[in-house]
Amino acid sequence: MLQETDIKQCPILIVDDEPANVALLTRILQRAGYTKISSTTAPTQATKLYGELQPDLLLLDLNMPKMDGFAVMQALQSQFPDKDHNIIVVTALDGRSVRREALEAGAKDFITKPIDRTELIVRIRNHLQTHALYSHLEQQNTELAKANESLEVLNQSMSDLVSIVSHELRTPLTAIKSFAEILREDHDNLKKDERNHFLSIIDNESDRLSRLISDLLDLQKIESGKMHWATEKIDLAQVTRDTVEFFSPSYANKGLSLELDMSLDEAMVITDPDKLRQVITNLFSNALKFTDQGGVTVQLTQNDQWAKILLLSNNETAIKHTVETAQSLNAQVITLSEPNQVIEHLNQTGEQVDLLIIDNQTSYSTGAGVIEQVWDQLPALPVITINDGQPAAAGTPPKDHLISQITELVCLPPTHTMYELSISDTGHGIPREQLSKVFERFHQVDTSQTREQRGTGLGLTICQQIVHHYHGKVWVESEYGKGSTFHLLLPAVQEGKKRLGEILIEKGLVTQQQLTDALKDQ
Amino acid sequence: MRKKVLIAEDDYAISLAIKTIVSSSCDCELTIVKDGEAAWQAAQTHMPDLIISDWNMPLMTGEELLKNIRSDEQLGDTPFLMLSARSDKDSVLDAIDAGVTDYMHKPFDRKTLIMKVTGLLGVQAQDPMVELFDLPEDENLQES
Repeated sequence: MLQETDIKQCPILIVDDEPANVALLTRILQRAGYTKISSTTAPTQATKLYGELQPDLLLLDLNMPKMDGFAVMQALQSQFPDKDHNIIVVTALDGRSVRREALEAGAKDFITKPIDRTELIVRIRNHLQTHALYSHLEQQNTELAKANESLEVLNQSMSDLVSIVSHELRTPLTAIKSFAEILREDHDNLKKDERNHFLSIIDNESDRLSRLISDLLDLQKIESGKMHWATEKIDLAQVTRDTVEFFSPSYANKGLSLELDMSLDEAMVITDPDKLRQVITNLFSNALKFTDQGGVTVQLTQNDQWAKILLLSNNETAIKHTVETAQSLNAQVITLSEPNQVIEHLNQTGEQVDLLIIDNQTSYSTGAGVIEQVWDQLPALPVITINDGQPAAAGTPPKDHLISQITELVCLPPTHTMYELSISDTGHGIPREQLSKVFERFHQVDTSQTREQRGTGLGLTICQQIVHHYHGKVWVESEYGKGSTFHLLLPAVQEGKKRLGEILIEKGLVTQQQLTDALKDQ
Repeated sequence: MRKKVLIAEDDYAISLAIKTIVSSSCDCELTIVKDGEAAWQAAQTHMPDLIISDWNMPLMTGEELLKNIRSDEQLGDTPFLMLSARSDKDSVLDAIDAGVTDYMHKPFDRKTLIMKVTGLLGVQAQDPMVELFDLPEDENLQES
């Protein structure tokens, strides 16, 4: 409910050609506790002032030379046609016809001179209260409509998911049921090796069904926040070496090379060892699956310049300022001058962008709804808007403010060292327009593949969720027909083993005790 | 003359199951493909008496295949049995609108599949139950 004090804060505009009347009305209102009173004795200025002040109430004299109250109301309505004007006319003129005319012209109420102090105050309070309640209700309606809309979207995506899942579950189930029936009904007509083949299909399809179910459960656990995440300090270099060794025979069987290019002896990260292995195994087995000739090269490096910022601006000062600030944080900036380039870049390079900075002037002048499109396509990408190269913020120096915004919005401070594992294959590659979709659930890039060549369609989605949980990044760069490179970035345990630990504790990922246990004996 | 059946299904296991069931129930010539485009090519070359097709296939969907078949002068009336893992009512209505002769949901029942296939091929015996439960023991089933 509205407080009396809120009402008293409402801006009120008085328009009356008689200075004495203005002074009287102002004094009455001030004594009643109103704090934001503006006035003019020039009715020709009324529209301009109204636009600047956006008053919640206009006290308007009707009988004025040059421009009377009716003309003022007409001007307001033509200039601000969408606004619900809260106008009370104050007039010495009496008589029904004038009142009716004023009400028809758009006034909400009228007060006659000589002014009755109590009447004036009560009427003004009532109107402001009604007006405020109305605005409040309108705002609530808008919010409810928005909430309803997003619930509908959620509902739709849930039912889409259910229909995809049921399709994916039915496929192996169909094979299992059919061969079970064939073996039962046609048993005597089948040769022994046929029977064995059918039994092994049932076996394989059951495995596929159970993999699908456990992937679905994993994803559900992650998304509902029920996944158990271990936090141990482990050596990414060692895990990489182990995985290469494990996969070597499979690659050799397919006639593919598997090379490891690693200058680091050790690359300590804090993560869940089983889940890290799951991620890396998934990437290695995808590369194996989609490569028919040539081979795979695995690289492990230290990356101090991993953060990528996309800047939309055609203003030299804004570009210079932002690039300098970002570089002081070890972040790279890709500058684009056209809004459509932003969408194209995000859609087609597949490269993971950490932050989008939009220069308002550039965005407005080109008139395209970049932010809306970005939110639509990449709801998780953080966006900052700047004016003249500076974020609008009171109190802090603009540069410090931009630094703190970047540091806060990128998953880790950009100055934090990461280890980067790249797995490059000479396989089928991914068409550009599909690059941003490969981590989406059930997205199959190569639809010419038969189903048994495909995985569950959830592997990369799960990988991405795991990597994000440990503040890492995973993305793919690819040239269709030539091959793909999957990149995995994980935060390094930094010297003194403090900074990452602090961040993990701060984000509620680990407790101090867990961290101490993990780092003990290291 | 032996009836010709075209099977289009991208899942190896399901395709093998359909092939095994169909060839055990009647003496027919089978052509098996694993995408819609190959199905369209095969249909034009082989002029099948029945097409059994998955709905969700690579390169050309079952729906597109059906559209091609229905608008083809020679193949236009070919019986088309659709198999789909989508089970909602809308998908059935869509399929009927698109002009399928009959449809089955996955997972399907072996006996129902036999009944539909023999029915659509017109090779059913006088008493379908006899046909269904006393399947001819023909060891010389052939496939293309």
